[in-house]
This record gives sequence, structure tokens and C-alpha cells, in this order.
Amino acid sequence: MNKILKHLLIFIALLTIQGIMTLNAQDVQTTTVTGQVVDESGNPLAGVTVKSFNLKNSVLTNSNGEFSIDVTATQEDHVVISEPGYNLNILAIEPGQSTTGEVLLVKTRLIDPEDKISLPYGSLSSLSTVGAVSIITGEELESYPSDNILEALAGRVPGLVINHYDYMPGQESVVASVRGVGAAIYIDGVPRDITGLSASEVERIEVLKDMSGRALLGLSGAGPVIWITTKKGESFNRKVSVSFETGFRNPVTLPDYLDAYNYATLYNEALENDGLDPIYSQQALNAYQNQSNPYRYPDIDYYDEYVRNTAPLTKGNIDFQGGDDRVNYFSTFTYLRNEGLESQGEVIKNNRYKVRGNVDIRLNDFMRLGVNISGSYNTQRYPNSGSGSGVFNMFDVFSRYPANAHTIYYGDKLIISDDYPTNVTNELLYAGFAQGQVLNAQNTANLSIDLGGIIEGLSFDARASFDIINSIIENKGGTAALYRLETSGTGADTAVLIVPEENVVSMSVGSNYVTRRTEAMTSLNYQKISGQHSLLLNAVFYMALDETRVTYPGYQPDKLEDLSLRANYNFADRYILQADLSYTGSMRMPEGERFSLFPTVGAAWIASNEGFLSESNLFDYLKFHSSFGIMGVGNYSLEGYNPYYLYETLWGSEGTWRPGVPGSYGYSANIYTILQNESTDFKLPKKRYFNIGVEGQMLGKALIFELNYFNEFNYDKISNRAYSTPSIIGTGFLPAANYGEDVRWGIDGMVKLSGSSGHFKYSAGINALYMRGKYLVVDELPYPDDYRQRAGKDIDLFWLYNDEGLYQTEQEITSRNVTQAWGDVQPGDIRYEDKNDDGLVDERDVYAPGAHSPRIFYGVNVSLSYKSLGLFISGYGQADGDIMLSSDRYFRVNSTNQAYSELMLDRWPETNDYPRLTTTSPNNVQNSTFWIRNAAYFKIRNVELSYRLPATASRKLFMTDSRIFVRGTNLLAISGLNKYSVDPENIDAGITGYPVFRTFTAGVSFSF
Amino acid sequence: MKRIIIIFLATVMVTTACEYLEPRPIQDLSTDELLSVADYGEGLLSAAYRNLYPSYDINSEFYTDNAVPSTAGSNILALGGWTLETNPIGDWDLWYTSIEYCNHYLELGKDLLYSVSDPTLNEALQKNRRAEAFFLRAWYHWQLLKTYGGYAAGESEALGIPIVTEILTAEDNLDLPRSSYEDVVAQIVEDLDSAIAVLPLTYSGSSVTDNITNRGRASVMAAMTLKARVYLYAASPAYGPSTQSLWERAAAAAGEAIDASGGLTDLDSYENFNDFSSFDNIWIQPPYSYNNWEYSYYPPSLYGEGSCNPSQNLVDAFPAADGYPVDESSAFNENFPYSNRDPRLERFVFHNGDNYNGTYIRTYEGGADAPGGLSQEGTRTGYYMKKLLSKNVRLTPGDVTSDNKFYAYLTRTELYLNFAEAANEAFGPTDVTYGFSAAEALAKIRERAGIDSDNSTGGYQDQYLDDQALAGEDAFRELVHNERRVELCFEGFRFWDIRRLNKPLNNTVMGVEIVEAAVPVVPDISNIALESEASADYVSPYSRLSYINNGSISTPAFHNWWSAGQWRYVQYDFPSYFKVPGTGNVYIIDSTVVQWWEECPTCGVQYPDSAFLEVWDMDLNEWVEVWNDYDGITEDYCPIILTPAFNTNRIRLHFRDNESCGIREWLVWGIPAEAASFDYEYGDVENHTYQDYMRYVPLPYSQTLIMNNLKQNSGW
Repeated sequence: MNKILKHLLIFIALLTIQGIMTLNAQDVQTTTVTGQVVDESGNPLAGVTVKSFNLKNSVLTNSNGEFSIDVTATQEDHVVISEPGYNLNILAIEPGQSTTGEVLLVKTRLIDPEDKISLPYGSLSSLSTVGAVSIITGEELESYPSDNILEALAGRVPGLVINHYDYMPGQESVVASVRGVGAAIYIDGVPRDITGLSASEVERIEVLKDMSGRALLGLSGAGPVIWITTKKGESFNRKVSVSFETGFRNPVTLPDYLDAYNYATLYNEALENDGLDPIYSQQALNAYQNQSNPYRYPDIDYYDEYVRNTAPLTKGNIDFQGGDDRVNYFSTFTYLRNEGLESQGEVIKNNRYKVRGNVDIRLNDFMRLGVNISGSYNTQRYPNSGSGSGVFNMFDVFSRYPANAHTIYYGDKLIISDDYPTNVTNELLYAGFAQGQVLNAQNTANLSIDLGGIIEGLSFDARASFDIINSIIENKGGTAALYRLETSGTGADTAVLIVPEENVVSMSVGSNYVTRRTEAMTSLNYQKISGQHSLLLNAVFYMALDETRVTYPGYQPDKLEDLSLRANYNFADRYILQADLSYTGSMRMPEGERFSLFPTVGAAWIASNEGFLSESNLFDYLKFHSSFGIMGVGNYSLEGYNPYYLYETLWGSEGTWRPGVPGSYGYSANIYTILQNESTDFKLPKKRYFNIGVEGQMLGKALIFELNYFNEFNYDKISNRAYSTPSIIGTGFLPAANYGEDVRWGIDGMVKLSGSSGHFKYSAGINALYMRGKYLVVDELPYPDDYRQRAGKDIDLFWLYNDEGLYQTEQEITSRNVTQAWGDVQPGDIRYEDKNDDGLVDERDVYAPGAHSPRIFYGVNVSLSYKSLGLFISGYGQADGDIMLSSDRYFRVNSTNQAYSELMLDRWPETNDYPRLTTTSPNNVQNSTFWIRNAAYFKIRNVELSYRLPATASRKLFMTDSRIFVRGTNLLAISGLNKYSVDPENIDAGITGYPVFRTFTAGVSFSF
Repeated sequence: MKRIIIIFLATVMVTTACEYLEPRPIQDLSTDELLSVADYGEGLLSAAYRNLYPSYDINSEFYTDNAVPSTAGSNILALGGWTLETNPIGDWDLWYTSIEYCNHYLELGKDLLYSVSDPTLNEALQKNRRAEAFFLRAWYHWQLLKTYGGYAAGESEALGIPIVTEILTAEDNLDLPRSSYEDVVAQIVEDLDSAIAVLPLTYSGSSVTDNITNRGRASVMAAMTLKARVYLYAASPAYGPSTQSLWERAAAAAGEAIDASGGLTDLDSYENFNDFSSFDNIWIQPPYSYNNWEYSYYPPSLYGEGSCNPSQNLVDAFPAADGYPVDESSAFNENFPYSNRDPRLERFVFHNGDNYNGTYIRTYEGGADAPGGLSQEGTRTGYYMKKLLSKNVRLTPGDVTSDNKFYAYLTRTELYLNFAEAANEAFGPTDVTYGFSAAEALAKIRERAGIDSDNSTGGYQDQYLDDQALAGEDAFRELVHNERRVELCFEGFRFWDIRRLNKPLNNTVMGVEIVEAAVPVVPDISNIALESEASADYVSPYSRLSYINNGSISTPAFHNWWSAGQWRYVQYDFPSYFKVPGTGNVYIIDSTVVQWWEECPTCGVQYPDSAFLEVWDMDLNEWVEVWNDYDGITEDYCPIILTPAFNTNRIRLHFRDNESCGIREWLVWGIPAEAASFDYEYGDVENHTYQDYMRYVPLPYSQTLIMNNLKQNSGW
């Protein structure tokens, strides 16, 4: 793998040298070209950068928008006119030409009818699409200082929701879903791991939300697709960009836990509530309070002891891009480093190096070859848990260990106790570490052949790619000697050795895996334009093979084979019809039934091109579009079943059983258990997807909008109907069947307004998603009570007991005369609704009282600039939904051996916010409306304040553009959950795992 | 154009045939493959064996007045937290799944080819395995019947569960009704009889089919013992009128099983509840070496979690050493509630001051095993469970050991108790219709326990048992029930016994709080040999040294065959006792009793020709002879009084014979000089709050919703 990296580096070096070498061409004959730059309204634009490609000189336009620049006199040259906020304009200058005349610069817009939309296996002009596709450029995402570009997408695209599950450096888990369904990520046409992709290498991201855009992907396109295209470099526009930022991160919030005195007092209270004897004497409580004997009566604040306030973050990249009429290139080198919050011993450290080289070569008149190579090398080092290679998660310990669990040191001896067997100092300082290396190489070659010589409009594309990810984790365990403090009776304390010291000298390999993905694609494309008729045909054949190096015998590589056809017909840029046919294969069907045919159709009407509207000035652009498609779902699974052999009865070996006794064990009898019974007529689960929408531009292109309605019907789902079949048939003896239906629908849309007034420019946009879902057919018990049935009800409901507050008096309990299923209740316990009025609160009283997960997700983006000062603010939020305070380490504390959060100070009878404390009764930890809160929040997710150096000043520094900036993330959250000291986006962060980070960085970027 | 596309597509399809999407072959077997090799096909039967419960159901003791768990949760059911849908009792799905495997084996595995070369062996294995499948099918039907059998709403007859004797498929009508209790009993017995007709009596033979390597398989003894148990339950009042004929049927089945096993013989000693060589453990899980039980149940000072805390109620149920209930015994001293007790208390329960492998258990306030001690919870009752744990297991960090462990599904102990109960109900305590009486069967239990109402004579005396037997059926019933509770505690019996006998479901569970006494109390003289460490200069490879101080004269004796004419000795070292801090470790020894063992007057092991006793003088640091007899011992009971009493921590007995010598038990009567003393305060720990309908376990609610014919037990 290192070899590949080395070759890549050489390759990039060559590209760079090529850029420098052309600098020597100074002794050629030159001539001067003049011109004027104007905007769409015809107003001259001042201060615009104008560069000549061959001579590499650059000038600025004067106040009348006029420029005058030297170009080569004897050969063709190019002039590049660029201004932030406007589309680039590159003009070819023929020998002898002396003026360019008036040069028009068009404002950059989100919806550009002229634009090409990249879709799987062939792009379409924006006019000709029939589906819901949202686009965002890589440049727009650069202001987000993060390890993972997906994070930067949060709140930026209508319908796209980003969930962040783990914030531990190097272990982040970020998942993108579109309209509520997990999205597949494709980079340059290949499903790829997005880790390490930085915004600077991304040209743009297309989010394919409906079936028309992705039908050609076959079964792989059943779910939404995020289609990422990396930069290629532009002909005659040479650019070297450098960006560097550094800063720090700190926890947005940390949970609050009680000190030893308060903990012990409350624990005693809990025991007394349960009719048990308190275990902390008054003498012990005093000792916790005045710390007279910190060994026996410790009071540890773990967050003080082990968590540092800030962790550094550094990020930098350098890009080279450019090209001429034969070769285009883009290459980048990225470096990223971040650290964890451990304040001593092994600190989590995460380093990433990334190189990319994209080259596009025109081989001759009709052939182009593109090669994209990317490699990232990621190293991590972290304290490991136990002697294994997992990460030691100290926050998980802090939320379980009360402040008096045990002292850290007794003299110089590290202490643990029976109930609290971890000593964090030992874990961080003496328990070894693990280090991991992940190499991720992504390689693609494209060949395009224009077959126009044979048949006009015919072309052929072929692509092959080979990706490999290799991850190795090595670790080294060990421990310091650990002691148990025995404080028996009135005698002296003694430290008894429990765990002897262990020094591990060598590293052992914890995990080592390799995954490869190989794929090949060929396509034939035919385009015919005749008058107002335009027809585009694509025929694609695709094969892919995903393999992992494993020894697990049931392992199956993932193999894909698709044949797809697309026909897109455009009449006069007014009426568009599209049909997609996917003949797609699945490894999971029996031989002879592997391929199925799935159709998608769509239509669009560009109303603004109709006579009656083009006359009016209301709409600059208005398009209605709709699509409907059916697609099989290939990646279904059913626990315990082998999805590749559903049509066979399978018996699995489950080890052996030796009937003998020690010394005479006899032979080992095999155990075979049923894995599945054959299903005779199983079909692929399917979905029907319908989308209808409108998009447009208004008010002189200042306002753009988009609105879509979608409806996704999932049917023929996989189920073994275990809930509705009597279990006397035996576990495992049921065949898989097509059973289950649900429907999901919603709307998403966006509106964005931009404009300027003198030096002040602004743009403000908002996007939102509203979604619902309903179970139609679901395998469930035939509950006699309708309120317990899932079918016909929303998917996102919480199933709960309905609380009626807390019991206040013994008298209230007796007079109510309703038994709650978790033993005797006392004043201070949650009182639950007896839904079926049978005098007993049990599972039969669980229903959906109406609380549900959030249904609205929205984002707000504001960009302001005044002269050289720029401010970008991005926020997102969710609304119309609820969340459950579920953590039993924080909200619903009730067991023994458990830290108490500060929230418990507000327990009953102090307030009615939390039930009484208990160590035995599970009454209050049931999922009930008592723990439901409004999940709505709004977060200021990202702010960037930048200052662009005046172009003249930049030029003095030999730069064409340079900026300095400060950036921040997670700066502010508005939410009703703030009062619990948790992050509303992930209320378990900081309790079970790493806290959510707030980031501050400062940096510079410049190009020359 | 079209042609080109068609050619292109055709080429693509031809070059990449469908085989590309063929998944990799997997190692799982199709049904044909499974049945093609006997080793595979028998896997269906092994699966049914594998699904047997892995351990004693100690949790079920928490639902009774026998014990409480150290942390809340697993006792919730006894505290009113028993709901239809969270019923933790029973494993409906697993048991029916296991029945399904038995039925698959019986139907599909008929013709498995076990041996090509030996048709006789092939046939024998086919027949035996098939019979085992019948046994297991009976066993799982029994599990279901025991758990869910009872009265359904609106029924006047006790109902069983749906009987399944054929392979079921998803297309079949799966809405089967519950058969009557008696029909299920009949089905179980039919399957057991099929097994009894074929299987070996025990796996103590030497052929391929009956040797020890099959120890974990079903045998005739297992089938007969199960039959006795099923009939005992069927006769119990919870499932209908307890008629004479039902009790007779139960007594007869138990009597036949005892006969088949070789008659009413002495029971083997408990050892560590893991003696797989003893066929008193009739059917066992194949033993493996592990220490999970100790990790769960040892007290904190032994590095365990102490998760089962026996109740004061259970401790009180143990009689005194003389066999009388504690409140009727003169031997019992409430200042020393753990002294002079039925030795089973010492064997089954960790109590304050208990010495275990050299560690004293301290449950007194401030002690390491008390609440808030080493582990924050500690014991809730003042006790920890000791039964089923092995003294060979140490969990000391750096010195962790394991021992062979198994779950005995069926034991001779239970068989005797089943017989004693059924025969008493059928014919009274002393009737000998089956060749032995209920009282005789119960005496075997109490004899092994070590009860002895007369220390002055050798052998087992049990006046209380005799009295109760004479007092008649009712008095004896009380004794049998209490004996069952004590003898079978922590083995998962009591929960079901309470139910089948219609005993009260609700009890107040008691515990004890122990504090150091302000005024020390002098303990009574007791047999301190039980706590001592025995050693010897020679032990026969056919014997064990531990027999001399295991508290039981009925267990095999220690002997040193063959030692012709040589002086031999055995010695006790008395460990440091549970004492007040700052005092010495000296025992005051008052007297000692040697119970010699003579195989027969002319056999290899005889009474000694000469013997003498030495005591270690702690001042002089030398042995002092305190007794001798060079005239030849003539009877087994040999009391030796030390006058005056001797202060020591070591005692040694020398003996010699032309052949060899044996000792059944060597008792040493004494007291520690300055033992710690305590005050005991008894208090409530839990109040159990069952509803009446909880006498029967509810059928899984989910199944009653799916199966319209499945009638739920009344009240649920």
C-alpha cells in the first residue's frame, strides 16, 4: 500500500513541475488585449481579476470595468476572468485579436438551467431532469472545520439529515439520511467510504432524492444516493490554493454528577425509601463533607481529574489545479490532526494525510482518459480498554462511578473496589495503548470514446475502479498493581493486592482487515438533436465485487450486476419525458430468478418556457416535475436467516455436546440446529416511489425555490411472521415470507433570496423537510385492544405508559386502588394511566399517547458581506417531535452501584420533576410520558467571519486571492433540553460516550 | 443504431453469464446432507440435549421464603411484580423447540447409519438414540406440564399443555388445544416407557452403549426417576383431588425406581456436589470445570458477588444436631445459633464466623461481608448460599481455581424424598408394602446429613424421626415436607413444592443483624473436628482422608489399607478461630471420640491392635501422650476423656494393626478459648405479595393471543 502512496506523490510532484516549467516561456512575442467586464444588467464590474494563461500575468479591471492585458501574439492564448460570486469566464484569444469586447459575468446561482446535473451513468442538462435533485458545491462546505464532510452538510440540503452518533476523535460515526432513509454515498460514481474526503477536493454533491435519478443503479439505487464528484481542474485556469487553520475544541456541555456527600445522603434516602437500612453512617457523611479521611471516604470529581478543557485541532490543505486543451489536472494534499480530552496518560490522537490526483487527458480527437487516484493514511493512538484493542471510554466510567466509589491512590497504591473495578488513572497511564492505521485507496480510470465517426451522437464510456481499505490495529495491554482497600471494623486500613502488575512489552495485532472493491462499467450513449426534439439514450452494463478478507465461512462477497437503459426526450425545452429500465441481478435469489426488471418513468414541464409565462417577468424559471418508479430492495436481512439461501432449508453446526465425564469424555456429538426452513416463493422486497415537485427562480433571479412531495410505499417486506405464528412450531423452523407494508411520505423544499445593495451583499436561505410514515401491514400479535396494534399507526410513535404525575400521598394510592406491575408503589412514584381499566397497570396499558420523533428538520443559511468582510452563519434544527429522557445513568437513576446526577437533587418530594429515589423498584424507569420532552432545538451550527485582502494587496503578495478567517461550530443551541446540561442533538453524548464538541479555529487561505 | 445496441447488450449478456451472481457455498447443511451422515443427523438429538437447563434454578428460591437476591430485580415477582407479559417463569419457546428437535430426530433420523461394519452396533445405537429422544420428549413435556399445568378459566379439570408428537410445519393448524393434565402425564409416561424398554439401567457398563462416556445421556434409572416425580406431582392436591390411588401410583413408581437402582442403600456424601462417579446423581449434565457459580455466590471476602442470600426462615428450618427442630431441641443454644446444628446448615449456608478455606465470613456489622462492607450491597439476610459451591474453587486474585461442576437433573436424594412423601400419603410412615417404609427412606436422608440424637453411642440414632413416624401420617408429612425443603434447598424445588401442595404463597422473609456482644458469651462444647484441617502420614489410594471429619458416620470410612504392622497416624490442626481481635488461638479440648471402622473381623481393615493419642503442648513445643490402649480395640465406639481439659491447637492419633485400620469419624469436643461473641437481632427483609391466581404460572400471553384454543390459567 505504501507503494501506491509513493507513486501518487511522484505523480503529483510531476504535475506541479509541469505548472512551474511553463513559467520560463517569457521570451515569446506578446501583444495587448483590451476589453470591458459587465454584469447581467450591463453595469461595469470593477476590481475583477483578469489573467492570461500563457504569460501568467494578471490585472484588475478599472472602475469602468475595463482591462488591458498582455497575451502571446503568435499562438492562441486564453484570458480567465474571475470574480467571487460570479461564474468563471474563459475566453480564447486568437493570434492578432486585440479586443474581447464586452465580457459578461453571470452570477453564480443554485439553479442554473444551463447546468449539467451529474447522474449515475450520464449527466443531463438541468432542464431535462424529471426528478428531485439537490446540489451543493464543495466550496460552500469549506467553512466547516471538521474531520468528516458529512457533518458540514447538516442543514444545507432540503431532505438531508445528518446524525452524529459518536464524537470520539477518530471513531466518529456520522450517518446521512435523506427523507428518513439512510443514504448511500458515491464518490466519482463508486460507492465509497467518505471518511477523509475534504471539502476542498469536492467539486459538488448531488443528492438524488427520488427514483428517477438513481434507477440506473439497479438494486443499489433503491435508497437515496449522495453523488459526489471530485474536482478535475479547468482548462486555461491554473490555480494553487493553500488553506490552513488551527484551533481547539471543547465540550459543549458535560453532565453534572453529585459529590460524595450528596451522593451518600441521597443513596441513604433511596435505601430508606425502600425500607432498607442506610449504609452511610452520620460519621461517614461528615467525613465525605469535611474530607477528614479521603482514603476511606473519597470525593472524586472525575471531570476535574481527567478531562481537559480544550483539545487541539489542526487542518491544512494545498491544491494544484489547471490544465490546457489536452490535459486537466487537480491534485491535493490534506493534513488533519485532532486529539481527545484526556488530561493525563494516553490521549486520543488522530492524524490523517490525504493525497488525491485527478487527471483528465484528451488522447486524440475522439478519446479521453481520466484517472482519479486518492489515498488517505490515517493513524490513531488511544488508551485501550482492558487488554483489547477497543478504545477506553472514560466518560462511560464517569457516568457510572459515584464520587465515593473508591480513592484513586492509597499512598502510592492504585485502588479499585469490588463494585467499581476500574481505576481510570491506571487505564490512562499504565494499561497500555492501541494504535491503528487505516489506508484507504480509491482508484478509478475512465475512457470515453466518441463514436460520432460511425454514427453521429454515439459515444462509448468505460470505467474501471479498484478501491482498497486496509486497517490494522495493534495494541499493548498491561496494568499497574491494583489494590482493594479493606477497612474492616475499627482496625487500620489495609490495601490488599487484587490485580498484580503486568508489563506487556510487545504489541499484538488486535484487528487486521482488508476490503476491496472492484468494479467495471461500460455504457453506450446516443444523443440526437433535431430541431426542437432532443433524445438521449443510455445503455449501461455494470458489475461490481466487494470483498473482505475474512475467515467466517458464511461470508458472502457483495456482487452486483446490472443492465440499465435510459431514454430522455426533450421537446423544445418545455416538455420532458424520461423512462428508465433496470434489469438488475441479486445474489439472493435462486438461479434462474436472479434478474428482475424495474421501470421508472418521469415527466417535466418547464412552464417558464411557454409563451404565456415567458412574456411575464414574474418567473425567470419555473419547472414542474414528477417521477414514479418501482425498485427491488436487495440488502434486506432477517435475523437468523441466511439471505442468500432463503430458498433452502439449512441446518447449522452449533458446536458439540460431550456426554461423558472428565477423564472419559467420549466422543463429541455434533449439534445441528435449524437455521431456516425453505421459503418456496420468496420475492425481492420492493418499493414504489413517487415524487412531484416544482422549482423556479423569481424576482430577477434573486429568489429561488423548490418544493417536493414524496411518497414511498414499501411492500413485500421480509418477515418470518414470528409474532403471529404459534411458537410451538419451534424457534427457527419458520420460513421467510414476503410480509409487511409501510408508507412514508413528506414534503421538502427550500427558498433562498440573494441580492446586493452597494457594497453590501446578502443571501439567506431556509430549507425544510416534513415527513411521516405509517405501518400498513406488520407482523405483530393480534392484540385484542386496537390501541396496542401497530398496523395503521405512525412509524415514529413512542409506545409508552401514560403518566398521571407522581403519587403524592399514601391515601391517593389506596383510594385509587390500582396495582402497578412493578411491586408496591409509594408516594413519589409515577402514577400510570390504567388504559384498559382492569385495575392493573401492565404491558396491556402501553399505547401510543401521541408523542413521536421529530417530523420537521430544517436548516437556515445566511451569508453577508460588506466590501471585504464576510460573515456566514449556518444553523439547523428540528421541530414537531419528542425525545425520551432514557438514560438510566442520568435521568432515571435507580439501581445500586450507580452515580447520581445533580438532577436528583430535584427528586420528589423536593419537586415533582423526578420521582422518589429507590434502589429496588423498577416502577419509575418504565418508558412513560413522564420522561417525554419536546425534542425541538435550533443550533447555530457554523459561523465563519472572514476578511478578504484587497485584490491589489493580494497581488503584491503574488496571490490572486487571500482570506483570513475565524470559524466556529456548535456555538449555540436553543432547546428546552439545555437545562439538563445535555446536548439536544445527542442527549447521551458525554454520558455514555464522548461529549459533543464546540470548535474554534482561525486560519488563512490563499491562492496564486 | 438499434442493431448496435442489441449487439452490445447481447455481447454483454453472453460474456457475463448469470453464474457471476452465484453466492459462495456455505458450510450449513441441507436436510439431505444432514441425514446422509449419522454424526450430523444425531445433531438433532444433541440439540435437544444442549437445550437442557444449564444450571440449578437458584432464582426460583427468590420467589419463596428460602432466599432473597442481594440486589433487587430477580425477586420482583414475589413482591407483586408478576405480570402476564413479564412472566420470568418457564421457557415455553425453548421447550417446544426442543420437542420439535426430538420429533425431527424420531421422524427423520430413523434410518441414520451409525456403523457400516457392525450391523449389531448400528441397530443398538439406532434403538438407543431413539429411546433417548423419547425420554427427552417426555422431559420437555414434563417441563411444560410442571410449569404451566393447572386450572384454566372455566375448567373443572386441571389442564396440561398442547401435546406435540409430530413435526409441525407453518402450513399445519398450529392452534392446538391444551390437553388435560392427566393426558399429558399419560403421554409422558408412554414416552418414558418406550425409553425404559430399551435404554441401559445406568452408564456404568463396558459396552459401547452403556459405558461411562454416555454419563450425560438418558438411562432407565433417569426415566424411572422422572416417572416417579411426574406421578408425585400428579397426585399433589394442586392438580385435583389427591386420591389414594394417585398416591399409590406415585409410591409404586418411586419404589420401583429404588428397587431397580439396587434397593434402599445409603446415600453417598455430598462432597462438593460434584461427584460424577456417584450414581446417586442419577442423571447429570456432563461435567466441566468452571467457577462461575462461585463468582456469583461466594461472599465478597471470598471475591464473589454473594448474590443469593438464604433467609432466616430457611436457617430456622434446619434442625439441631440431634434431629429435633431448634425450638424443641436441648442441644440448641440461641447465643450460638450456628453450633450444634444439623451439619447440613454448615454445608449449605455461609453464616457469620463460618470458616471457609481459612477465611472467616464476617457478616456482623462492620464486617467485610456485611451490608456496606467490601461490596456496597453485601448480604440482605446475614447469610450467603454455600451449597453447590466447591471448596476446591478459590477466586483469590492471582490464585483462581475451578472445579468440575454439573447440574444433577435427577438424584437418588429426590427419589427417596418422593418415595417417603408418596408412601406416607398412600400407606403411612411405617408401611413396608414396597419392601421399605417411608420412614426408612427418610432416615437415609437424615443419616447422610449427619443427624444423631445420641452422641454417646456409635451409629446413627434419630429419635425425632422415630417419634414422628409413630405419631402417624400427619406428623410425618410435616417432617417430610421440612426435610424436602432443607435437603433440596437451592436446587429449585421449593417454588414448585409450595404450589403443588397448596401451601401458603406469601411469607415474610426474615434476616438477621449481628453485632458484637457487649458481654462475651462462652460457647458450648462442639465438635471442632469439623473445622479442623486433617492430615495423615498415609492414606490408601482407595480412600479419602476427608471422611474422618465430614460430620457423617454413614459415609465411606477412611482407611490405610495396606499398612501391615506399621504405626500410622492421623492429625487435626485447629485453625485460627473466629476471635475477638488481640487474643490467641487456643482450643480447650474436653474429649474426643474415635469411631473405628472394621470391614469385617477377618478382612484387610480391622480395629487396631494398639493406639495412642498425643496433644501438642504449646508451651513446651512438643507432643504429649494423653491416652493409649495397647490391648487391642474391640468395638467401633471409642470415647476418650481428657482430664483436665487441654489447651492446644493440634491433636494426633496413632494406631497400628497387622493388617490395616479404618476410621469412620473422629470427633473432637472442645471450644475456642476466646471466641468472638455476638448479639443476634432478627428482622423482616421482604413481604411476599402473591395473588391467589399466581399459584399457577400463566401461559405466555402472546401465545394465548395467537392460539384461540389455548385457555389461560384462571385469574391471569
